Amino acid sequence: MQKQQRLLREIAKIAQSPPKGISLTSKDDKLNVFEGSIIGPENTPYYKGTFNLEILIPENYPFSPPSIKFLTKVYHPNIDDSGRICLDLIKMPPKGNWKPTIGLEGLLIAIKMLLENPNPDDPLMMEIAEEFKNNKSEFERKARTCTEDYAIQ
Amino acid sequence: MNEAIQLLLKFPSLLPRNGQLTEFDGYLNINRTDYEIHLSQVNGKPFLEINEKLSTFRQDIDHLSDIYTNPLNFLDALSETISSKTSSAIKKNLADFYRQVLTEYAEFREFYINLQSCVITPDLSEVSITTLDECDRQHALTVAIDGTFRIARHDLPDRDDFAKPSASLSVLYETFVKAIEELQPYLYLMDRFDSAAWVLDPETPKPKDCYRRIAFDSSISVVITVDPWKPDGIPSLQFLGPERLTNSFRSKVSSNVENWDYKADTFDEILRLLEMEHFPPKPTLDRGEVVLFSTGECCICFSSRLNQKLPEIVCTNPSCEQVFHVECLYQWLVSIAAKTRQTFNELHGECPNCEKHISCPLP
Repeated sequence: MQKQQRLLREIAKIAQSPPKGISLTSKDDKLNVFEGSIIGPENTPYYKGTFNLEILIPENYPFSPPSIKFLTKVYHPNIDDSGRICLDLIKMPPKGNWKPTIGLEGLLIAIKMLLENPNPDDPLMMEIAEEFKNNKSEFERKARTCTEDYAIQ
Repeated sequence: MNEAIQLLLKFPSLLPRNGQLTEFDGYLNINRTDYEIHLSQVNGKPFLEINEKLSTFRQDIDHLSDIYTNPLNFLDALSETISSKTSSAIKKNLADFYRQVLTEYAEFREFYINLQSCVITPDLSEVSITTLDECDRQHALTVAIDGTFRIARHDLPDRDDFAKPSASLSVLYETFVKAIEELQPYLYLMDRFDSAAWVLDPETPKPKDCYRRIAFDSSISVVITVDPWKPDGIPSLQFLGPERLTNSFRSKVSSNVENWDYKADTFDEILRLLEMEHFPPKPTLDRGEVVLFSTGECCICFSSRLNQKLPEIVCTNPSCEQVFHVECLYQWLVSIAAKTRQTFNELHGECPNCEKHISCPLP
């Protein structure tokens, strides 16, 4: 019931002042599926890439978080091969930290920040996390190659 | 005896420890650093206790005490060695250096009379210069003074030769001016984007910002990144928006890109890539600022009226004071049941905004 009204408001806000390097558009009229893109932040191996995301809005949004996954392949300790993201903000409490005050824009910004600052202590990809901690240059090289192969248009 | 007096005259911060004038305590001052020393004689050779500060010169001390049996000659030689080894830290007298800075600065101001402004900080650590280019754009340059002159801050895109320090302020300024000249085509191109397109980002573009996020309508936009030093090259285009729209633009670009004309105007060439006559202008419709939710609106559903009801609950934390519809807050507290307690007819839990305690009547 709150879903429609709230999403319309969120879209209007994003359309008017889009956050830096982030876009969000609705894919259907019922506002169930959104497409997001994040531009790889500067000074990261993801720089110059465009990363697309699929955002599914649950019926009881904003009381449950949307489910977000990357459509573009990303080499990152907290993002797995199928694009799932390990981020506390998109999980329900008590395990996660979703709050109805966050919103889609906030989540996309948080994901962009995750690209800038991987969190190897709570990894989804153990090997990549180990590499990030112990062999940063190798991690950066692989992430850069992956960005070039999949994310650069 | 005579030698001992000479020693005391030469090193006034040493004091004799005995009447025979064979042991001395005190300090050697070399290059503004005090070295505490205890000098005595062992087996007819000068002997110096090695403390922490002197430990870096341990080898020199051993070596010199073998050569010089006379304490005066020994201390002379030692001071010279320490002085030469620490001299790189302090090249010359600071007064001379600052005099040189001021002369250089005065000459600079006299020579470049058409500067817009040129100010030196009272502690002589920085010079700030602003100048106008041929199109009256203002450019700012800050030069740090630390032994030499070095570009500390500037508003242009970065370049390798900006990092090089120079002994002359004029040389640095010339580098900067030359860069501004080279950047004219780039700055002109960026100005055209800013005046003829709906630029979303950066909000207030600076010469450093070599990209523009340009909106075509509210759902699709493109990030155009230009190489400031080669603005006539093909810029990078990243499309953002729904796939069905971005795909069509991407295919237009990839089919047109082979006809890119390096000699033609870059702005027109970009429009040709996109198959557009001009960029859509910024909508002038004044809708007022859209905010996610404003005061008086529920911060869960982002609206004020929900089923004709206004938000009734206010968070009691004075630094939060967000408002909620009973329905919204109830539904949230129920959905995180693990963190919520129920008393007779109220739910107690955390405010979704400030995480402090909040209570909500059962609807």
